[in-house]
Amino acid sequence: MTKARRLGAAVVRMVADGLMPALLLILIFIWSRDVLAGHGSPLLLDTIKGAVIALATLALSLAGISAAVAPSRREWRLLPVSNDAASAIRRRVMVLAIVVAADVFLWAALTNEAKSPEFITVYAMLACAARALALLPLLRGRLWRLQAFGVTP
Amino acid sequence: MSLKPFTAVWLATLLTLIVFGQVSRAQTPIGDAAPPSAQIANDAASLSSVDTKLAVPENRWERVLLSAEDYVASGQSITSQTELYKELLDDVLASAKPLRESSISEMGEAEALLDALGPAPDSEKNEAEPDEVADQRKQYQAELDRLTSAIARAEVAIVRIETLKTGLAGLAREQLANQLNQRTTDPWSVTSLGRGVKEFALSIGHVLAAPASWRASLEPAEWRDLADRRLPLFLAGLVATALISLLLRGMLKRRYAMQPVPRA
Repeated sequence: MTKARRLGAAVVRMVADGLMPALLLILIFIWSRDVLAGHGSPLLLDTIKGAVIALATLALSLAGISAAVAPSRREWRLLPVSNDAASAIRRRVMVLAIVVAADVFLWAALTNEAKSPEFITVYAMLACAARALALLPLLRGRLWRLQAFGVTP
Repeated sequence: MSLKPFTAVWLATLLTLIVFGQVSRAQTPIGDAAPPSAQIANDAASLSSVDTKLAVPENRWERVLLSAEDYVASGQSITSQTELYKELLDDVLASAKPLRESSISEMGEAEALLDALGPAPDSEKNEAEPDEVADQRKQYQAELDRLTSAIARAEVAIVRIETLKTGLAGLAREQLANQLNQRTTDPWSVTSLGRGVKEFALSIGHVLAAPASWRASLEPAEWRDLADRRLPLFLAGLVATALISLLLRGMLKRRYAMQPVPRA
């Protein structure tokens, strides 16, 4: 399998599973703004905006990582890592994407009104801690041990 | 049965829409006055259908301008509100400028017609003119007065918008300066943690209650308009687009995506 072929297939997967749902979500947000024009409250619109951005982030992240590591299709994998490592990377990136999406949603929805310094401090601490905790498992060296293509782990 | 992540994202999207779309259908409206934010949103809706006739748009402009002036005078800046007011002011400006230009051009025509009638007779010298000419002169003069007044009101609105935009920019600058200069509290202090967690829980409550409180703030006529006309269209369009996207996605993946490689 040539590198160009693998890259092409990964781009198609990214478009089909990430970009298309993300575009659909953005379309939904624009429509919902039109539907609610004159009837919507800013809090509701910000909540919808947060949900849309969070889901789009999630779709793009999941599609991106699945396209790059292709855990169930070794021959199509862009990163030369073992099957186990590919599954583990995908799983851990998914957890990180969920944490980031939740943060994006909460920040968009909760900061609709002015917040106190206590709230901002506590929220920032929790959000950063969650991101760091989700990121740390991805830094393990054994996940990123590269292998030559065609070598069975 | 295991749920694939992409299927889960699609389902979550659909679920979000259904929840927001069909929100609290069974709830009874409380009938309270609409909160200021809803009023702002109403202004935006009114502005989108601005009539080109003179008397109609100016009342809407006035509502938006007064509301924006109150907001700037309050000195409290909320990013989303500031952005909303900027959009509203741009809308007003976009309708005030063409109105001023068209009125100026119409005024030129009215002045030319009035000039064509010649100078008005001097009443002190007991000069008179035929009734038909006098009626026409009166009609052209009334038109000229109406246009002068429209131009003046559009000019005033434009000047007020410029002042308000400066005010909004000042509020945003002040908010940024406050954020940069703000001393954050100690995250490990029990008091800060307590207050922060309490406010966090309250805010989550507000977000969860947003659809219900939005529904409660709607007048029955507004809700009927949404539920009977806009939402079904929105949902139908949404389902159709989602189905087409799924079809396209399937085709794209079948043709070009990763396929199992046959073993030699």
